[in-house]
Amino acid sequence: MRYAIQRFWATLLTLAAAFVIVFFIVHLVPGDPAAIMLSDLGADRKAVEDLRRDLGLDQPLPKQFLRYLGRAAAGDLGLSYRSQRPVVSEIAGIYHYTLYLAAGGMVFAVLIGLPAGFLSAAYRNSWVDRACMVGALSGISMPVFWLGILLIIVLSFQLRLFPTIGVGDPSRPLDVLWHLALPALSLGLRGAALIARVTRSSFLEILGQDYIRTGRMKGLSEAAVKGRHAFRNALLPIVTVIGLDLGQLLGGTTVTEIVFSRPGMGTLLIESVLARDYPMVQGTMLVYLLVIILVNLVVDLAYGLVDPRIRYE
Amino acid sequence: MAAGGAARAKEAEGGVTARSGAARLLLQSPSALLGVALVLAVVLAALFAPWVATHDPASQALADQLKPPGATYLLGTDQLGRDIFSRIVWGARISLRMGILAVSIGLALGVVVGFLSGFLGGWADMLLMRMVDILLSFPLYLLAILVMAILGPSLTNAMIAVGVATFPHIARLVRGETLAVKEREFVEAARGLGAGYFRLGAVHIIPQIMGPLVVLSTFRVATAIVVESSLSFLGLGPPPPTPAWGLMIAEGQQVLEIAPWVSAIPGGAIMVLVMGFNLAGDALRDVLDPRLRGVSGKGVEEDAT
Repeated sequence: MRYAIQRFWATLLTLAAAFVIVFFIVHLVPGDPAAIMLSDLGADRKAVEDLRRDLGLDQPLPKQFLRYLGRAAAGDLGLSYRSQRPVVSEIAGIYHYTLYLAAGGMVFAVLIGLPAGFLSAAYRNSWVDRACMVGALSGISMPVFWLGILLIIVLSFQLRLFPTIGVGDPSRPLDVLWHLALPALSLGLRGAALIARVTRSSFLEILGQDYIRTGRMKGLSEAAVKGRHAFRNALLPIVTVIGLDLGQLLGGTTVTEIVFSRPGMGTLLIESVLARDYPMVQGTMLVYLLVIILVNLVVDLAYGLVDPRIRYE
Repeated sequence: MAAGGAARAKEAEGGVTARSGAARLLLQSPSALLGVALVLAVVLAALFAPWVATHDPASQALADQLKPPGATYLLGTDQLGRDIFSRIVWGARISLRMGILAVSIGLALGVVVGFLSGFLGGWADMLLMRMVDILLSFPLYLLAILVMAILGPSLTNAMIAVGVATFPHIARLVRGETLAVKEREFVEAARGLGAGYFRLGAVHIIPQIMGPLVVLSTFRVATAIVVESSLSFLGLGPPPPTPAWGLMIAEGQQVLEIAPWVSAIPGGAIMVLVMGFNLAGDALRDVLDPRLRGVSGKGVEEDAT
């Protein structure tokens, strides 16, 4: 319980920091936000002043921050400079594409990384081990967006197996999955490489422990030793790396969505940064950070459940 | 003062023998050699770019658009008829400079914050480490994009962004190592002799943690190069016609179906360089950080923390 409370406070602190950072995006940008907003319209000084007052930019910073917090709590993240629509409704229209992508990426990361790492450890120094570890090193060294482009070249253009862009027809789940496959694979492979490396080293460490030898000595089958005794104990670092990778994976959705021209939070964020649409940048960044903070909290708590030892630290 | 000097001389001596042993170990591992060779190849190409490149990286030969790799154009040409090989060679300068300068920014910030945090302890430590933890819980890409959103797209800003995103990892390492070293007798002695913070840090503590610091920095250069190329790819890096590798991949995407090499080849260059740094990092870790020897994947775990 003390562990949970401690995690909770840390989360609250991170949350506060996220709000402060996002709030200050607008204020750290050189130049006056109101002037930037109206720069394309050729507005006069008076219009800029009016807008400043409307946005509350003439108020002292702490007051502005409280105002921003209050509005955010009420679900109001301002209007997009570009579309003039509420930031919240723009995000609400596309956030699920990013969730699908991240979930798909995680599925690939675990489904590829875990067996690869396990096989590597079980057949240490064999060709299987070497192949897996060379693959893992390549996976870690490859930029996500380039991997996506290679997949498009080979699987879409050469072999015509997958579509290159878009998210598919939402009324046909299979079509959606078909469009999701390549982006999720390219996003997930880096995670798979990390998971494979950690799984391998974790298993090798556990297999050298005394109680594994004891298990073998009392006549347990190799399958029982590796499957039951080793697996549970080796799981811990693996769960950690999966949890840590979830955040990186969510961050990676930005590049992946751009490569595959998918709508989503990442595309929205990058387009807004390039268009200097600051309310939209703030909004998408805030949602990203909130989701990541939530994921981190859940991972921390789950970690406490998997390993009772951690709760007493 | 004399005692401190003698102790330092002895430490330095130990450092020298450890280092030459390290060099020998490094040369015995084939993967370490491969890593060093890959990095060295790119560094040499970058240094001697005017001689290595076969064409002017910016000159457009409109008659020779989208030529596949061949004799005249080793790695083919892009849609403006520019020689891809020459652009990659000149682009190596950008990637290397970015990776090394970004990590230097991260090192400068991280060493100061980590040292102060570990050395001062108490409130300062708590405050600084909370800040570091918060930054660590945000993904690298988002942190870099956030800084770019504030500073605006340019090569220098991308470097600062990646540096800022790198420093929490360094700070955490330096803090941990400082805590371990600061209770040792020679530090106590130097303190007793009236050494100030700067002297304690620069002369007594930082040299002691050089090994882990070099290892982590090598991995971070690899990461910095990937993040920089991603920012360039997204249009948040240098403007065209800069031959930044990430930008070349983005430009090639427009002709991906008819001329896949325009995108595929610069990505290969990124992978070669990044893999080189990763292999070199693995090898350096085995040599300089004996605690982690043989535990493959440990550095990556740290990397992801």
